Amino acid sequence: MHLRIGSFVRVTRNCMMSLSSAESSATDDNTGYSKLNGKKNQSVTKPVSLDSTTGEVLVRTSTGKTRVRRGQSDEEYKRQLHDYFQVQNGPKVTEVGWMDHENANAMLNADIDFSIKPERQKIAGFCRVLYYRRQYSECAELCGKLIPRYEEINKNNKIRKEINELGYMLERSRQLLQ
Amino acid sequence: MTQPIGEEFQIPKPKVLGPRNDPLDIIQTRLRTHGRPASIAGPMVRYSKLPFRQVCRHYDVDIVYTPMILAREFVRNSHARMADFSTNKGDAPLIVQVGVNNVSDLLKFVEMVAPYCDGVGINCGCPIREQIREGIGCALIYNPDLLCSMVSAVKQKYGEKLRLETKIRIHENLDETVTLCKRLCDAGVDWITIHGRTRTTRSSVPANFEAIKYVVDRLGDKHVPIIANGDCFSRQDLQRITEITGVDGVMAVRGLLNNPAMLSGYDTCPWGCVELFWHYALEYGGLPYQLLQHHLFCMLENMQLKKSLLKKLMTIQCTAELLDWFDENFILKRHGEPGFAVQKDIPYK
Repeated sequence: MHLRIGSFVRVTRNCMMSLSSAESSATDDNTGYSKLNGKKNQSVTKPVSLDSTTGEVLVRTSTGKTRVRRGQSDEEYKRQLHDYFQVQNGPKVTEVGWMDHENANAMLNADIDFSIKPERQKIAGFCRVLYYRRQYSECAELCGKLIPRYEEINKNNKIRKEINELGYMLERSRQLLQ
Repeated sequence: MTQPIGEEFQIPKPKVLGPRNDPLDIIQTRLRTHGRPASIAGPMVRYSKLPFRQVCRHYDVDIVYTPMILAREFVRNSHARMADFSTNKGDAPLIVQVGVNNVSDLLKFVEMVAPYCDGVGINCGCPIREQIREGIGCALIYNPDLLCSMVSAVKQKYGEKLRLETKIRIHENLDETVTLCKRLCDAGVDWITIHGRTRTTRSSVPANFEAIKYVVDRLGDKHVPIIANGDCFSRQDLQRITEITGVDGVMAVRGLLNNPAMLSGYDTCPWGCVELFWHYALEYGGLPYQLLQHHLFCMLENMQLKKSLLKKLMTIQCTAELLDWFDENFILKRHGEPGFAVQKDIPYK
């Protein structure tokens, strides 16, 4: 449903009125405390539906302000469905041993975008499993390849912790192999 | 920039329900088949991830929940989907819990998760103020019209193909809880979980099982199973809560975080549980470090590990270092090694 600006203002004003009446009629608790008058603000607000087809609702935030939570058009939802079911093939599925069927080195040669955290987590997960399984030689080799790739994108030291962990595994693996 | 959606495609259907994964069937038959009420691991913010769910199942938990997932984010954002939900073939029976404040988002959310879970639970119990302000969590028990319309919409669309649960808290006036439950039953909910505290009761105050019994006694004619939630910290508690309240099953949450094996009859967390958790956490691709550390801290604290070691554990900065610390102080067996996941006491080195 598309609203023109004038009608949106009217709808919003009406919704604000119903929101404030919903708030005043909501069950409240007198046993709490608050910053303003010695009582925590425990009122329950009901979201006001602005457009039931898109899920657009008006809510009151914890600071007391009203906020419109924007709806989602049919087209946008279809796009998300396509991404979820067709591109991603549903949720992330990890069976025990799933990493045995993937080649971490081949993944490194492919176009991994190291700036994306989940991509980094996935590849670092290989190192951790190798370390856990005491496959120190393979672990050291993979960590050694990953560290320079991580360094390339480490702007403002944002992923220093991740690099440090790879460095730790590399160092320890070498020690344990001696 | 918008991208073309591409060719038409078929949205996968909800997962087929059978005796092994239908949560409603399990709740209704556990007493007859296993001589005990159904045991359920409830949702925990951050902690009910896949490795923990699998550990719980290993120790006699029948049904396991995901953490609450916000429908609004899930249906709009692929990063949220990736971060919030991962699963596998063994992850069943699984209830995906949803935080939602409108019918449209709920129907979309259900469409996206139904092929990968055995039921959906609407969170009507979360007492966090930020969520209540959004009309999510236990705000819904004060908004019965919206809640019942959400239940009706899902059940009208999916019928018996999808199980739908609501997890509520009790009201200050218990008759309001009875009225709400009756309306939920009429709307088609498959079962109701009742937490024996109001939205403002602190967790240090004991759960009110008499209140749950009060509600259960007044819903007999609806033939909808009721699950009790709150203060289940042992297998004995499971029996005791069932006897007091007359429910069909019990949901444990905090107790399982400290001792995922408690419903198998272990009074304290067995070492094998720690080994199993390490195995799943790493084999499933890893957990964020703070989660891994917190899980292990809770288990080891429950096993009454020396205070000095617990203190040291909390200073460790990364997964590999934590693994080394375990190997230095204990005998931590890996999957495939003789005696993996069976040791009870802490095997100090």
